[in-house]
Amino acid sequence: MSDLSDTELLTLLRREESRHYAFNLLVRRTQQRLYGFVRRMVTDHDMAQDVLQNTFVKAWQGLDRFRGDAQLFSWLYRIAHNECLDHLRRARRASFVDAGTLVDRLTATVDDSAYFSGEEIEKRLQRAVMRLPDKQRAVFTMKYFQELKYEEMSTITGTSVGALKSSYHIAVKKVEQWVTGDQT
Amino acid sequence: MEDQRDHEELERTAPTLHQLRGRTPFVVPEKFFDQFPYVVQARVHAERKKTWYDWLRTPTVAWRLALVPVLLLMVSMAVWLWSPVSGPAPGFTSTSDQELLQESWDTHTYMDLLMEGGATADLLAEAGQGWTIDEMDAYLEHTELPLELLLELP
Repeated sequence: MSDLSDTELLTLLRREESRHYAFNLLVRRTQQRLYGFVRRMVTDHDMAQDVLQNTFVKAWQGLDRFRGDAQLFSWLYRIAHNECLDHLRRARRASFVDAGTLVDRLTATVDDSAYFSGEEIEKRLQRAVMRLPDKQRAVFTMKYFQELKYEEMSTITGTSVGALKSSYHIAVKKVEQWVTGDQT
Repeated sequence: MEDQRDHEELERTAPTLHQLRGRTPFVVPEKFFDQFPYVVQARVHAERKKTWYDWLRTPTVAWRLALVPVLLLMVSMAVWLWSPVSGPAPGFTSTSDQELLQESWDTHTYMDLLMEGGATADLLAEAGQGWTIDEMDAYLEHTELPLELLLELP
């Protein structure tokens, strides 16, 4: 049943009697990939969990408005992307700190072995990724970690392919420099 | 095709990042992804039970609403304190300080002249602009003149 196509899943989602079941399938099918994106964006597991929950709740509430002109995954990814940016903005406002301070707090969890199993170089990579501005970090994460195509990224972010390519190339240079250099 | 091109370009421009690609160092709690769909279901269920006025209960909105009466009170006090006096209070006529002084001087001088001339209480009452006998008595007592002298009938 988990091999259902998007169209079949959407048909089930549109029917009142199968909506909950289909939505459960959708969550199971997409949760790991979306979690990977969100976790890279915020680093902290608890915050990632909050963001992912909000993403699915908003998806549920907006099911009737989903027209089906994009893939279900891209649609969910767009909600997750927007929720990440909103959540980080709200967190900054709520704790009265600037972007750098919040990122420092979130990035501190990479030193906790209960939540991070990587080697030193991977910690440096995550710290470097977190130094990118939120929107550029989203672009870098989608391309580098999640290997999305630029067209898909354009649908998700609402940004042109050209602008995304440019943003990604700049991000790659910065992150490479931060990971290998002494500036991390 | 796009993926292949991206890999080659990354290898050329950022060799360290190219090496690190594909690793996932994050750890999640045990059975997290087994339980997560149920957590989402519970959230969805809880959201459906919410009423239309629940948005009022969110901390931010509640704080803003609590400030409304305080702000209204402050505005009312400011208006009351700084509004110009536009006339006498109800039941009173408007008279300038100068007019009051002048009127007081005229009345007392006239009364004093009458008393010196041996006027009677009736005459004084007439001069006192409608004072009663008791009011006149109080006035004369204040001026230390015996009432008997003035109440004598002609």
